[in-house]
Amino acid sequence: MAERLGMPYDHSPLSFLKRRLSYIFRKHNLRNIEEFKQLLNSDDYLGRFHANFSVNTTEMFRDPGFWRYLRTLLKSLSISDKINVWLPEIASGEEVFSFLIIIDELELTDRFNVICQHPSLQKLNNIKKGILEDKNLEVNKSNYTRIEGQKSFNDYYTIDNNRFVLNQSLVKNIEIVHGHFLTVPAPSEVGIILFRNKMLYYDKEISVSCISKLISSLLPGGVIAIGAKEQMPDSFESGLNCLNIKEKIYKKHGFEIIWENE
Amino acid sequence: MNDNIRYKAIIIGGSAGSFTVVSKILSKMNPDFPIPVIVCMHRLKHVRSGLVEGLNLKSNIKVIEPNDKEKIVGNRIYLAPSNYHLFIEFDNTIHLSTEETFNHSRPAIDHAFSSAAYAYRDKVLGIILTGANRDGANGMKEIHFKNGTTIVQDPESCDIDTMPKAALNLFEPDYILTPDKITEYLNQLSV
Repeated sequence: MAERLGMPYDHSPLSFLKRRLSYIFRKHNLRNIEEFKQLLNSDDYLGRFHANFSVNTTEMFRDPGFWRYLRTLLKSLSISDKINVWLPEIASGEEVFSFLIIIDELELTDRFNVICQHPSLQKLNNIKKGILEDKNLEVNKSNYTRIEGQKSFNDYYTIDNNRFVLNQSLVKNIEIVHGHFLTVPAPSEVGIILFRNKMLYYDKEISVSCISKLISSLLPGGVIAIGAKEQMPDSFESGLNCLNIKEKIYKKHGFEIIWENE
Repeated sequence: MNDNIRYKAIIIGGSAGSFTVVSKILSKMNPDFPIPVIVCMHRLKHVRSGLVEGLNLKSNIKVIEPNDKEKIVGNRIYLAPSNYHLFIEFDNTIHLSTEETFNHSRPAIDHAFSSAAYAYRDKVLGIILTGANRDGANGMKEIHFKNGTTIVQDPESCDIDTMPKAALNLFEPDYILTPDKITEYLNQLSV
């Protein structure tokens, strides 16, 4: 499966692999491994496999303390050129839409180019259109209240065909990149990487490869965030300053990106 | 039933009213209790701190909210973090996940129990406590049918007995015990 898909799925925790494959078997009424192999051999299916296998972000503004800290950090950013923000494995819009709302409220929307990457084009197209698959309005609104945003959350979206659609003025700077970030060239000169709760689905070996690739593309002084319950592999700690241990936000050594209050 | 088998882990699940019961059990456990204890309780997902600190105030054994891929060791209580599912892997590590809610819960007790049943088979002791929904009942059944040991809190001692009764409707547990008797049972394991 990993070979056919060109993905490191053979490096996923076993219980996770079992759950995702059970879901795919149920969804397609597959009875045995031969039927699964047949499905995988169909090129049409590959995109849908990535969509079904990957895990959506749970909600907008997950961990409000993280977003409050990031907002303070962004306020202190000294910007001369446009800054690339990279979300290397993003299956749904919650994380990037949260970021877009934060920079909108700081009036920094046009200072960022936001790169969203995933192996499923279907997922990426939804993100580019500002669509959330699960509206989750109650949770998203309550998290927005917890970050003490400046507006009413309702000002940021419309409901179209029962789907949440983020205001189009906010998604204009999203650039989508199709493919798994480990298998295609990384964007260069990235200032901020949001990679929260993605290493949960890889073993330690691939997690090291992930962080290595991400940090290589990060500008000196750039910032990377991982999930609150993930661990930065030891081998990278000497090249990073931990800005916030609770929210797992790290800064790469160097001064091409300047944070004035840091 | 052979109570002298060495369990690799003890896993406890609970919902409404279970904080008090878990606190009580942990406050009376032997400080050198050698077996790891994994606790999965329904909790407010936007409140990340407070619960582990509260349990540590009462517990004789150190309580932590594990990071993903953390090795499970003895004489430690592992509390499932808020807004993450918790699973046990075959290599005796914790796997956390942000997958969909299950039984309207994250962490879901069924997920934690089922993974413990697969990872430890007959070497796990599952305990289900008071609670207001059915999460955990199916996971306990899996522990039971993989020859693990099961304890259901005596429904008469529960704040809300929906969760223990849901388990009792699915299988016959090894023991039905009050919180005091659960503590007694655990402490005799460490003798």
